[in-house]
Amino acid sequence: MQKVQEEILVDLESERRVLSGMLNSEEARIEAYDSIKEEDFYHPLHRTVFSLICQLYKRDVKPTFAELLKESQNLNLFRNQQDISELAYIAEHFIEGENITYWLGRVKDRSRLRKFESFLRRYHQKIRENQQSVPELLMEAEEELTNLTALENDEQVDTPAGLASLGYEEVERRYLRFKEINELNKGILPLDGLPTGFDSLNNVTLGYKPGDLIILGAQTGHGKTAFALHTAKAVTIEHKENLLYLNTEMSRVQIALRWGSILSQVEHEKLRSGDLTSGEFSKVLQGYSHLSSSGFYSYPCPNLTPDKIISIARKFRAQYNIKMLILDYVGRMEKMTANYAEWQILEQIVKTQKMLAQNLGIAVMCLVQLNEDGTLQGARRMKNECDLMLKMVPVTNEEIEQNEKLRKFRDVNYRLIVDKNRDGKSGIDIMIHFDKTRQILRDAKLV
Amino acid sequence: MTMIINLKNQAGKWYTELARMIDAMQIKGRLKPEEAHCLLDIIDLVVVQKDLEFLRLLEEFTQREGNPETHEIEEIVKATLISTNLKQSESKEQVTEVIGELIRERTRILDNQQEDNDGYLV
Repeated sequence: MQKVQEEILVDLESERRVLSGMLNSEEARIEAYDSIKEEDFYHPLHRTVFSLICQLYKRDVKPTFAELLKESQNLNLFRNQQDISELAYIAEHFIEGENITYWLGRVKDRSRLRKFESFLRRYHQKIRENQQSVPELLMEAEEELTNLTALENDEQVDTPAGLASLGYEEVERRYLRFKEINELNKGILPLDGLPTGFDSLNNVTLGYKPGDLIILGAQTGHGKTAFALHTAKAVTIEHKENLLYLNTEMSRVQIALRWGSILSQVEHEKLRSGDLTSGEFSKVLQGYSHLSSSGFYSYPCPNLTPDKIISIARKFRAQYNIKMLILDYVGRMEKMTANYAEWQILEQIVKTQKMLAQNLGIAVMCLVQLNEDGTLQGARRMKNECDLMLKMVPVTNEEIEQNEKLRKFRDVNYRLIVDKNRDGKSGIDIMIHFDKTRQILRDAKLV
Repeated sequence: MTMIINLKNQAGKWYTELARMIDAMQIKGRLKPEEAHCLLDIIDLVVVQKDLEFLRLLEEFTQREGNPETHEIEEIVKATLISTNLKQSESKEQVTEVIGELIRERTRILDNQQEDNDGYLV
């Protein structure tokens, strides 16, 4: 009887397969790290091995069998032959990374079944004790059972009281902050999220917040990458947070040269040709020293797919605690399904990015290409998904002559149209200056 | 119960056996923890990362090991290996260079010794 029960509730082979997959494939490590918990394993040794692999993974150390033995020596674990044999068995019997979701599903299902069994035992005991009224007992059981069946471990239902308390705390925090701004900061709003790199955009958005999806559209040759790197500079160099930059069309050298220009304010063309004065050369060196100590992680990847982005983002979230991801740019990504229309593909990609931002608690910025007339293919659907939609468009001399508002700025040559802003005002324009020769952006200066 | 099919080749089996042996020797006190760590790093380098250059260096080192004349050099090589983090590629490159020089020095001493012995016999 005991044996039959164990076979139903425990699946040690699946546990071993998950662990061996994690030892042998990075894909499996990323998937498992994100979707399973130590307590989902039944066998205590498997729990320890899982925890060790996760610790090594977070330190970006490949968890080989030898590495596990080293860790276990340091922590005085697995000191008997039986444990070492089990560990060796796991290491020797690997599965391919792509099968990991199947085995993870099996381990998670058994874990839920064990929780269900424990639930039944507890309520059986409560019935026998007969200390609660029947409606009370049933209500309590129903709530617990709902959590067990419908929800994943990291999801939760907000009770009315919980939501009210959350709302009150949030308003109180904002109220106190507003008072502080008026009293101490002379009206300058402190940010809720990461800096945007523009004071005027900071005021409108209060920064890029965890879970936000930001879409920036611009025409070819009108500063998409410059905007992305400007954001990266504000986040990683000025704000000292970590960020992952995925570029689908530029090489490592091209990205590195762009940084040289942005950080030294020396013309990009001069860096490319090498025609620099010694003073400029020294400025460039100084600029790179800032990059060297920043949290900017770049991953040039010409054949990027939505699945690959999820996998890379999870890895960098776990290992480098990134607060933001920039995807430069969506149009160059590999198509998932050949018979989908362009807008359908873009919509799918954008949806994936929104889920990624929410699941990992990071801000995600996607760069998209505008049509020649300034419109965006599939714009309405993209707009539905994102929290902030910006369009970066050039301002012509004619426009400046005709528009009084534009004439208030000394050097405006581009504007950011805030097409959607979930948390604040939209439909407004932010005047900026884009120095193409140096790849630098900033707020336009008032006359 | 489902059985897992062993998909790993024989090298994988040797790797785990070797690692277990090193671990067991450390538990029994026949290896110091830092020696065991160094050996575990070496087998990861050679078997998992397939670093053949490093393997050749170690082979070269072990081929003429054990001569009292060069005992000191061999102890320096071992101490250098133990104190280096072989998982860091920069440290590994540096140590490879240092050990290469030490082995060349040992070869020179052993060759001179051989010449002296040959001269004596003539």
